[in-house]
Amino acid sequence: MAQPIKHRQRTGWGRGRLLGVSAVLALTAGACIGKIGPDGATEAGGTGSPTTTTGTGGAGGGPYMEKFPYEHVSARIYVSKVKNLLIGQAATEDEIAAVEKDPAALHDMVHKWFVKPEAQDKLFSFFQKAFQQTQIGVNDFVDQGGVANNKDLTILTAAKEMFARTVLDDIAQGKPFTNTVTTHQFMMTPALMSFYLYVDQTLVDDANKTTPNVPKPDGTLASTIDSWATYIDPMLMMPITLDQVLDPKSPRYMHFPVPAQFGCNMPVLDGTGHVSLDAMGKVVTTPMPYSERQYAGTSPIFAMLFGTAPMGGVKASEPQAPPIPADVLPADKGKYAIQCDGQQNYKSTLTTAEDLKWRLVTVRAPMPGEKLIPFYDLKTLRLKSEIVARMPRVGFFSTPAFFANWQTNKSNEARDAMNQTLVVAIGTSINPVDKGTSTVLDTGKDGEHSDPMGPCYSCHQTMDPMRLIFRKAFTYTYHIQQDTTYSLHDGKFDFLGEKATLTTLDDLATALVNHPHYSAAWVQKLCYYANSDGCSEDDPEFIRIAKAFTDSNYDFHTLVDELFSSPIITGAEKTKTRVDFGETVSISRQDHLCASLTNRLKLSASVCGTIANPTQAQAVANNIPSDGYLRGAEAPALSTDPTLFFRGAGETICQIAADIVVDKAPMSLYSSAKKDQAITDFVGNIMGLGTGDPTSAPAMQILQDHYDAAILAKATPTDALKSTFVLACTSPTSLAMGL
Amino acid sequence: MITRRDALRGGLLGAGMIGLRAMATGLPMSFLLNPSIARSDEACAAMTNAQFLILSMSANGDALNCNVPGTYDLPATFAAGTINHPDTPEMLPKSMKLGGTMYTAATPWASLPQAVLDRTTFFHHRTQTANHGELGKVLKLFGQLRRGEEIVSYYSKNLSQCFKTVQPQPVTIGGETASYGGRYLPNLTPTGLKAILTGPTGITKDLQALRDQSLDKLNALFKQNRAETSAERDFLDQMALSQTQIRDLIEKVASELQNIKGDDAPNQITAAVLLVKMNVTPVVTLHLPFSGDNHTDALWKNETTQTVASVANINLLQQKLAMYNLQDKVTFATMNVFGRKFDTSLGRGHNAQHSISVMIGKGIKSGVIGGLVPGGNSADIDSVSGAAMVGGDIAAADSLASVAKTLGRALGISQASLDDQITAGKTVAAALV
Repeated sequence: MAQPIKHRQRTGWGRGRLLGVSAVLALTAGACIGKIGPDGATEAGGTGSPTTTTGTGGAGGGPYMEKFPYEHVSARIYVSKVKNLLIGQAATEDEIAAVEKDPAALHDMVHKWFVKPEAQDKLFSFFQKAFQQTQIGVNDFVDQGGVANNKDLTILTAAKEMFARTVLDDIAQGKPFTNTVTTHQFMMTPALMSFYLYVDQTLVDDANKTTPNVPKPDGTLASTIDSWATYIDPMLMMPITLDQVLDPKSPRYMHFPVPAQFGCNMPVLDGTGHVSLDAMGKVVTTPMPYSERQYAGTSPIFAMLFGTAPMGGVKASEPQAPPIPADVLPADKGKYAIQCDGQQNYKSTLTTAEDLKWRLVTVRAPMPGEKLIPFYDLKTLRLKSEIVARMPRVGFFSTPAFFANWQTNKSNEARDAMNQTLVVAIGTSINPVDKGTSTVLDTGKDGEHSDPMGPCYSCHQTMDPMRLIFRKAFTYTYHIQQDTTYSLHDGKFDFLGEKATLTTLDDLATALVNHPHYSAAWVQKLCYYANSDGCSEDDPEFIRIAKAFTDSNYDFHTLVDELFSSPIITGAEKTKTRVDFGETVSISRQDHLCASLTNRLKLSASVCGTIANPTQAQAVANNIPSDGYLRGAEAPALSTDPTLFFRGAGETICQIAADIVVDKAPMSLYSSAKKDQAITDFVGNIMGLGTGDPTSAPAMQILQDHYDAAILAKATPTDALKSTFVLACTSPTSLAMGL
Repeated sequence: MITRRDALRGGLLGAGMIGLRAMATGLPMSFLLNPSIARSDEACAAMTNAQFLILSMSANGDALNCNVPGTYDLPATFAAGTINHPDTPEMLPKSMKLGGTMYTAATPWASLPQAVLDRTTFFHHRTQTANHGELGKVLKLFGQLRRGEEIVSYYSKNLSQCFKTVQPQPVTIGGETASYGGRYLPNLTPTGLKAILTGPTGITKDLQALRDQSLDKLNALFKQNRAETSAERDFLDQMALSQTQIRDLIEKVASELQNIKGDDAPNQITAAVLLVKMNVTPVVTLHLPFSGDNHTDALWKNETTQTVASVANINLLQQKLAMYNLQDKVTFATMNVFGRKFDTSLGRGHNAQHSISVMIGKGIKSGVIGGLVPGGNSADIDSVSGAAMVGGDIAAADSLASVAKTLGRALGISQASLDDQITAGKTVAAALV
């Protein structure tokens, strides 16, 4: 059944256009922006008169004001746009002709493009951002992982990829898209399974007190656990194996191999027991290597398993600092300390390629009396497609990457995680005008939060009962909540008219997928992806697409088919979205541009991901904007204008691509010996101008002329062809979406 | 066919051939030289003493508000222990003179050179949000700036007309997000700027100039034979314009950008000053931290470290401006999403009711505007004297708009424009020279 879609005014609404557009448009565009008064009513914000043009077909079927004049977009433009969006390839003449003959043909094309590997790659990136699983670094996992600066990025990269892989797998298996909110199954590697269990088997309370909670071989849980980082001379030919590490009967039980001795520098003492100083007054030291560090707790074990021996942990039997004579001044006592190596990073010999293989894994709660698998037992985990954890893991909103994005603390009390969950699932952020019916829980020290006229009131009133479900399940560091102040209390969902009691995270998932905003939220996310701008949620076409998505049992493929062949994306027909938002021709942002170049040049790895020159890498990474998400923002952050910085960076990435594909032995895509053939491909493939395009032949001539001019300027044929490639690559049709 | 003579001429003259480019692209010559020129004369005539703006923004909601003049020496109506300052040695209270009056502030502020303090004001206000995600709404003055525009966009549009900057858009470096005309601006970094503005040499430069000519032809071709809508034509115009802009900029800044070594605050300042010096943009935003989101900040560690560093960087900015003789051309200001509570040493919560905008510039009169009321909220303000006053004609709720109007006036934007575009608040004359 189609759900009624409530229209919400968005802050990004009514965007102004590019330079040179009349003031009337700017005024009318801004007329939607108003000050939100204390009662939540919207006051008029602009002084301009609205245009008098009207259309019909709003949500109520009544007339609506047209903020932008509708301008028709031809099949040649929009087929190129849609194909580029989906698979980063140029449209063929046959495809354009088919749509010109029958616009409905685009629907079938979209359907077929969707399943291509290139489309899946692009969707992977889209889902990483749409589900807010990226934009994080190593240290953002410290709360959960407890290991700062872990250099083994493999696990953390996998954590960022995990959910997007899960979504793609769901779609491939024909599961409803609502599964992304409700699922307990995730694509994982054994290394990630280990990480999940490591977090589950380490108790960190709200006061940050850490206690191991690791299953022992007899099935009971240990609150202490010792481990060692041990060096064995390779000449002995007796390396420590994973079997030995896991075997309680082995003398090497919990001894993790390191590839080199640890180094220390011991102060050298003189005959009086004082440190010796050199001519410069520096302490004389002697190297003092040692072979073993001892640790307590879980985090060193997890770190050592994947190639990091944390600092400290020198055993009592290893070298110790010399005694400090009684007559040493306090300021000089530091001179008697041993200077030892800090954290050691290395390639773990306990992990194998098997630990990086993805598989669908169910995360479930233990049965009564069920034995748990220790997190470090990779040998067992490699054989499993299920892990048993006490901590609930449901949908996108409890993944390690989501939590790494939205860390919390005593003041925030998981409000961030809750609000971002709403933004992802139903496209709405808690807003000062969204007042539910609950009583404010947090009165605050000054009573400010319980003042209905205060700026904090509505957020706390709506948010606090809801975010309790996160606090019920998790501590501030997203470990198991054992504090009964929280763990025994349910949350309440009371948002935009929808109510539910939240006893478990599953209840929250159910409330989200049953929310009337759910389908619209995903239509809107894809609108931003495709149009670099929003769509009107009261546009009948928008409502139709949202209904089709719902009616298909939330089949994402159906949603893409319907939306990307719709006039609200193509501009082939007048829609309310088009006259509300106008048409945005955007720069090809990083994901689109990199995919387009990579796919059109048939490269095996992304042209943007393999830039060796650090200056060029910096230029591209910083100046070609990425799609991104912001804290509290319902709409993604999308730069669309071809600024001078984008123009410069576009040229840089094109030069990098030219170096890869022109006269590059042994299998060069383009050869200066066959420059005419190359230039033909530049025009058709890179610039996307098929032979039927009226600009194809003149563009070809411009490229030919450029090549000739370059030769005349004493460029080599290789450099001339590279420059011609860059010309094609920096053409507006190559750097834009929708041109 | 292009002849060798054409090729060499293009290579020698490059982007400077505005007349030929205008013919090639179909754009008016004036547009290529400056797209806003057609609208600039009238608006600019109303502006005197126009200033560039370097704006430090923060969505963290830093504790900048907690340690400035106006938060010390409070009367007995403030209960003991309700307004707390760091007790670290670096942040101890110290006297300072602003506009002939002695105030107390944390040591870093009081240690700024008197010449800087003589053009510094501390504007107490409130943003009325405690949500990190609402920096954009603060920049939009919560709808009190017409057309949903952000103040950086509004200032930039006005100022670019007078300065005829390379681009009318602000440049955002330092990580915070802003928009221009409703569109998000890319977040740039100093090293990213350096990388993109390092121009080629030799044959590569010659080929680039040839490509620019060819791209002009492609632009003209597409504009004439492909673009069907105004949006498509506008995009082509922008592409042509950005090409002119970057070539122009590379010639101007490439060598000086070599001073940039990283993306931290001092390098952001270097980049900002160079962007102003080279007339790239009228508004640069950067990020100077004063505590971060310090809910937990045992013994004021972050607040102390960051305040000391950032005040030093403000001084560094003034020194660099003086080095380039820009000290009378650039106004520095801060804008935070919210301030922080005046809590104890364990950390500070969000404060929707009090924030500070620091303004430093030729047009700024030294002093303190507004102040606190018991509870740590900002006071109403008397627009003439700038004093905190219960029932003053600027209600605390309108103080954010007053910051925007006052700063706008200091930047040289006409009072008429400010009053027309910002629908609340008043300009505080006492903050202006």
